Amino acid sequence: MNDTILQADSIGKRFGRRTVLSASTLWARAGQVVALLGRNGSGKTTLLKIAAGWMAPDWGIVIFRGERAPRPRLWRQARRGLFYLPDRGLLSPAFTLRRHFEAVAHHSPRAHVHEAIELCALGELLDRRPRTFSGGERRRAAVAVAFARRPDCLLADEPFHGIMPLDAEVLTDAFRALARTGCAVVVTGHETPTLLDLADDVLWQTAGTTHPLGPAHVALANDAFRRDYLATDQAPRAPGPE
Amino acid sequence: MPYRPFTIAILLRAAGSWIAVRVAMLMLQGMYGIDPSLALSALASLGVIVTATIIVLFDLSRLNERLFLGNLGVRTGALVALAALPPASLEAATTALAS
Repeated sequence: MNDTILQADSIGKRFGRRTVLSASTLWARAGQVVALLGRNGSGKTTLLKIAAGWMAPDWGIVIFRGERAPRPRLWRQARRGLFYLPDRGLLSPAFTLRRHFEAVAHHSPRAHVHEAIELCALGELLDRRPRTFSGGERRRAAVAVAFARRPDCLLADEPFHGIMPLDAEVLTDAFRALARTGCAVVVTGHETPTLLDLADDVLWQTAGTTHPLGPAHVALANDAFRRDYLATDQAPRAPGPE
Repeated sequence: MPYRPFTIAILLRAAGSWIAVRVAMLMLQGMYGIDPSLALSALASLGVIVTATIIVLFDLSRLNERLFLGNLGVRTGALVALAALPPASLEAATTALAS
């Protein structure tokens, strides 16, 4: 499709003798939020790292904005509009949050720093270093940095992990706001209600490969997904078409 | 060029790490009589010191800066090479003077 900004196609990755990904595919479309779900150890993080250019695939190809890259590099993809938000810290413990935003503004002429600070309620944290932040504050700050950069594609690995509902709401608003600007957003995690509520499309990563499940209400009607991931026979309540 | 405060801090930290590694090696030599140059060739010794410097430099910040700068489009590999340049040059000069 023409609005596909990022596509990681038939990706494979081995760690020693263990094949984590055999034929995984990930795509991100302009203005859409994709939730990449899967069990612990199913390879979500690996797939995201490969798509971002932070890890090399053993086979497969990444196509970002029409350019095919067998061995993508984060810095090169970042210059063309990609942002990778890792599951661990993104921000340097050595610098204040203000310095991070200054760096973003230095490298991105179209940076939206003030909007990001306001959206993620970070005004009081600007002159503190990230090592003094709580887990939720750190997450909000990292997402704000990504928002400020105003990427065309954001890959966010477990952004909702271990944060309170209020912070999760801030992050959800930020991801939705980014998608409204035309950014293609991919989010992973296990916070199923939050992710299904946020996502336009659901991808299920299992047994080394990826299954496109469609919108949340369609995903929830998928027997295998319910049984093997949600571990329930009953479809949970989730947003459906109005 | 990366945002200057980050570049300066990384270069200073690289220099600090190199000094720390060098002092540690001298202490080992003083305390236990271990002379690294006896065990390793000058080139290998230089490699060990520069590698240790880089590892200390980035591991202490848990790779965050590499990711952050990479996300801004900065070639972090080039930054690593830049950070390694002063210790490598000094090591090379010291080796040359000693021989």
